Amino acid sequence: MQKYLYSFRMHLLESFQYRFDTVLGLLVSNISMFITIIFWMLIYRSNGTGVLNGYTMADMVTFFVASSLFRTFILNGGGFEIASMIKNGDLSRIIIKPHSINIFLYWKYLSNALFEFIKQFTFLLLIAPFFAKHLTWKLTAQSIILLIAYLVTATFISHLIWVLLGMTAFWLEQAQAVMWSFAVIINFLSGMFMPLDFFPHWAVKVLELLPFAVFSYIPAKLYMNQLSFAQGVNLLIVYIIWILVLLLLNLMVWRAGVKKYSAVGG
Amino acid sequence: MSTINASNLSKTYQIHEKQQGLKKSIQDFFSRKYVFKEAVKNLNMTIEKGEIVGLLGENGAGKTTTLKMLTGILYPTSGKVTVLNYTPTQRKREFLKKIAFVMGNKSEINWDLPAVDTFRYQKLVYQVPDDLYKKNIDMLAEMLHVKHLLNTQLRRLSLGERMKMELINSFLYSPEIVFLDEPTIGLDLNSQLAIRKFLREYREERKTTIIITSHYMDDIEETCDRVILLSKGSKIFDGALGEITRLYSSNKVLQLVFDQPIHPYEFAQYGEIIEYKENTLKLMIQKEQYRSIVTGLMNQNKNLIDISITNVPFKNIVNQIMAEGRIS
Repeated sequence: MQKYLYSFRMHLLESFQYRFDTVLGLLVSNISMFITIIFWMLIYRSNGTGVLNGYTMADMVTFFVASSLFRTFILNGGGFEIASMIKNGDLSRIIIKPHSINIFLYWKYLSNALFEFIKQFTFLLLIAPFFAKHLTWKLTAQSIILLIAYLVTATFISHLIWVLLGMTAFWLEQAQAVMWSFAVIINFLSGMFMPLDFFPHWAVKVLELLPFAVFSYIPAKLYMNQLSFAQGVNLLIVYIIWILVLLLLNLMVWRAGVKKYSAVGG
Repeated sequence: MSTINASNLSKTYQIHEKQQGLKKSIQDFFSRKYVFKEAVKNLNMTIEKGEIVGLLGENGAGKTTTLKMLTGILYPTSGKVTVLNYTPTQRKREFLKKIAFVMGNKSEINWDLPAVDTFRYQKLVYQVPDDLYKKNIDMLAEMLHVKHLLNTQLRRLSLGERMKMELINSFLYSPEIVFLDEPTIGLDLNSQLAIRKFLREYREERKTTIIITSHYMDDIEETCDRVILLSKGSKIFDGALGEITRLYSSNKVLQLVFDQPIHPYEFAQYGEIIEYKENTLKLMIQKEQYRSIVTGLMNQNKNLIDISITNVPFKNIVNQIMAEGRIS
């Protein structure tokens, strides 16, 4: 455990090395949030009703702003890293260390996520005066605990899904296309562009049970106090089952993959 | 039980044959041709504790593939291998803690941080006790003369200094076997010498088993007790370093210096020309013809000002064996 914590700390330190990169990254990563918010503002204006599907404009802004914060806990770096390690043979030196690659990558990208979270949080505080009137704040102690549980769950699920996708490189060599296509699908199904309850009722029921909803839609709903505690706990159990399923899949794919691995280069 | 035991070890890669040109590439996209490449064929070898063994061979001879099978990175296609009585591909933690694999062309140390940060991480991964860690780092940094650089960000170090850090990183947990794949690649002579000296001294001190591949024959000649020669995936020689020189001791190298530039082909009748520069010529000749050749040359050539005779250098012997693909 100590070794993973050390690597966590080491990568956190590393993140602080490049100031320019940090600031630029922050602006770029928020452009898509701004575009989405402006897009919805236009819809509200042209529609003229002020409420869409139960969402007021303030709700909508809150949804996307909160989502942008929760989304920092999506760990996709481990998947991309494992894919490139397989492709260029760097996996060789990692594979013969007495540690678990999956856990190592998890901590590495969790430190990344934490850094992103701090960045995004600071950024939102700075720009808060401009949109504060649109924001709602309805958290209780109970929902804060559940929210944290969701975010932790989201880190596990996202990491496992992305590593699973990254491991397709054992067979495909070049897994980037697969990963980016899935990125689009996963983003959409997690509610990045619109809240999932804009879908028909039956579809919402299914989408909520998929592991992607925990990345931003479900925590955002909880934050907006539109999810009861009991409902929330039930969903948490579903997501924990997903973690177990994904762990098992990871193990199976890893075992089959390393046998295919050809350790190119060198 | 030997430290390393390999019997009938083979590895075959399936490679997709890529063709040239856009049209062919598109055809290729829909129907692929695969070829099988036997990287290592029926390799048998045993290595004892404390030996330094050099693995030699031309590019693609199977050296790195062999190392990767011995360390458990690659699954052999067939055959059996045990290292320290473990099956490498099971990658048991106890096994992994006892081996180190240094790759000359792949860095393991974090680029943005001082080397010492990576060392501390390595210490945790390999569970090195504090006192041993301190002792090892001190000793290794001392031996490699990099004590003053441990706190410098890695990217600010030279290639040679970085390689020394890689060595410290791999030796700091006192592995029982160290595999080195081209450890001196691209380094200047000073760094090469320092690394060779370090490997010899370290082995004396710790009795560590070391397997090394290198393109620099001097690396091998100066560090190894034994060499294994591979050619196209098969072993063609396995024996003490001296033995290989002895096998070729029927040849000698004759160095001739003239007082004016010469045409080298005039001397081709005496033996094989191995080096030529303006007025100096090195010929490989048969030992027993030495006398007659020298008297002949002295009589016919007024411009000859110096003659010296030496044994055939190790690298020339190896080059010759490689070219022929077998021991003659």
